[in-house]
Amino acid sequence: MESGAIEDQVLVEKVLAGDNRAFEKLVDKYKRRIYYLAYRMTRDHDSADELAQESFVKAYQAMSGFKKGHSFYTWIYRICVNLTINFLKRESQTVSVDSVEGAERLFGKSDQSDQLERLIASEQAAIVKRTLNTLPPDQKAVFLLKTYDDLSYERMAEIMNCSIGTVMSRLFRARHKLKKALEAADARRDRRDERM
Amino acid sequence: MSGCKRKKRLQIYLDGWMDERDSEQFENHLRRCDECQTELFELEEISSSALEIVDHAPERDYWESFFTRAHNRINSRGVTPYVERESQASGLKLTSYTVGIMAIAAVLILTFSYLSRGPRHSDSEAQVSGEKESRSVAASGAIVSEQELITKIAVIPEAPPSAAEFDKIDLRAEKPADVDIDYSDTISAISDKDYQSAFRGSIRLKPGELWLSEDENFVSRLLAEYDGLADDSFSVNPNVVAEGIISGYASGGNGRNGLLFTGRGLGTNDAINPGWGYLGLPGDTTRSDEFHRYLIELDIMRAK
Repeated sequence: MESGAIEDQVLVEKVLAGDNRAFEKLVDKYKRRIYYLAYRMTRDHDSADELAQESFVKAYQAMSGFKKGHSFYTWIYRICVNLTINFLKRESQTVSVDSVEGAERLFGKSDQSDQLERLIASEQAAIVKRTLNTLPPDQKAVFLLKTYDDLSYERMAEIMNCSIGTVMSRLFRARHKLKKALEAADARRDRRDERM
Repeated sequence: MSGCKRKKRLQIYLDGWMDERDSEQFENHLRRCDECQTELFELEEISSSALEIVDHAPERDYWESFFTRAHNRINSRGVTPYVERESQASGLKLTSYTVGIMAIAAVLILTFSYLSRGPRHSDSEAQVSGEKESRSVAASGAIVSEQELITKIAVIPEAPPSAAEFDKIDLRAEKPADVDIDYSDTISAISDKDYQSAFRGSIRLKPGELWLSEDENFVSRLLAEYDGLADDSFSVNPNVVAEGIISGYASGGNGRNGLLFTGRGLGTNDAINPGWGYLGLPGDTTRSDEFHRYLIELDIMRAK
């Protein structure tokens, strides 16, 4: 068991013994990761806040069922992923697909020197962002867990409560769609350049 | 259509799923293969583009008030994590009286479970289904046989088509809209969206043909391990390539994962028999990484 996991286990024991400070420590440790997981899934601050808060409430409520020797990190992620996927399915919420957003909205101000590169990168990021919003929640979740948290297949399978094969399949499909979207954008850019 | 068959392994390389030896071999290949290099670059570009997306950054106040808000929710709902602990605490105060009551209850449950067993199977059947027959006490206190639970979740294959019907099956009709498959290949493999719930695509095996040319061992093992649980007349000789469709994915009631096979092949009587059955894999493949890897690799290869 990793040292962080042992530390979490001690905190869980304390929470179960009625120590609120221990729960606060757990929340502080994971609140950012949980918030951003929900935010990247929904792309909406209010929804992410609601889901992150609810994740910790659910975790608190179910704390006595937390199995010794398991990872709290995986457990809280799993709660959040489930809540968020259910939320997205319930709301059929694919956050509005706006026109391609400007670089300023996606990034900070870019330097003059690498403006062109940044512009292309910003366009690609916008495409990825838009395409992510069209992915089924399960695929989106796996892609985000891999990309932002660099989790192993095993860990993702635990979080998503599915097999490793399913994780791989969802990840492949998500990437495949993102790749197709980027390729289509490249082709559009090439056609545009030819016309100019 | 992909030119390099190893391209399908890029994902597991990129995600660190390969062991060291495979990684080294694959890197040697990468150095020589422009196609794989390009594909790898594109995959990395997807991740880097995603990482470029700027997230909303809540103010400091938001983070500082996070716990208080969560705690207020908990308090307003009267949520408590102590349910199980209370029962544990009371459990520590067991008296000899309560222990006695529990012992009597346990004996009654065991007796009831023994008396309500079905007729005995033959020894070999009993061995296969040993796990199935174990019984568990559900939370409600009702006694539920695991066999019933397994039956509910298992994928039940359809009855086998006749040989004539089999020839009419249009595998392409099952093609999911979002996967491009090149049917110029002699073998069709079509995947479903989610192997966990059901691998409802089809993999057609024809005599003499090996799909997954890099994985011929898998095919032979697959056929060799056909255990014929579902239909005794269709137990496949390890050296015979059968013709049929892998039509489903099953979490086997015997604790093993496998593929549901519909088709025909040489049975033990050397006759070509239609049938359906369960293609198992060696050992206990419940949640087997290797098994799922085969499925996904097949899917990836066919989708490209």
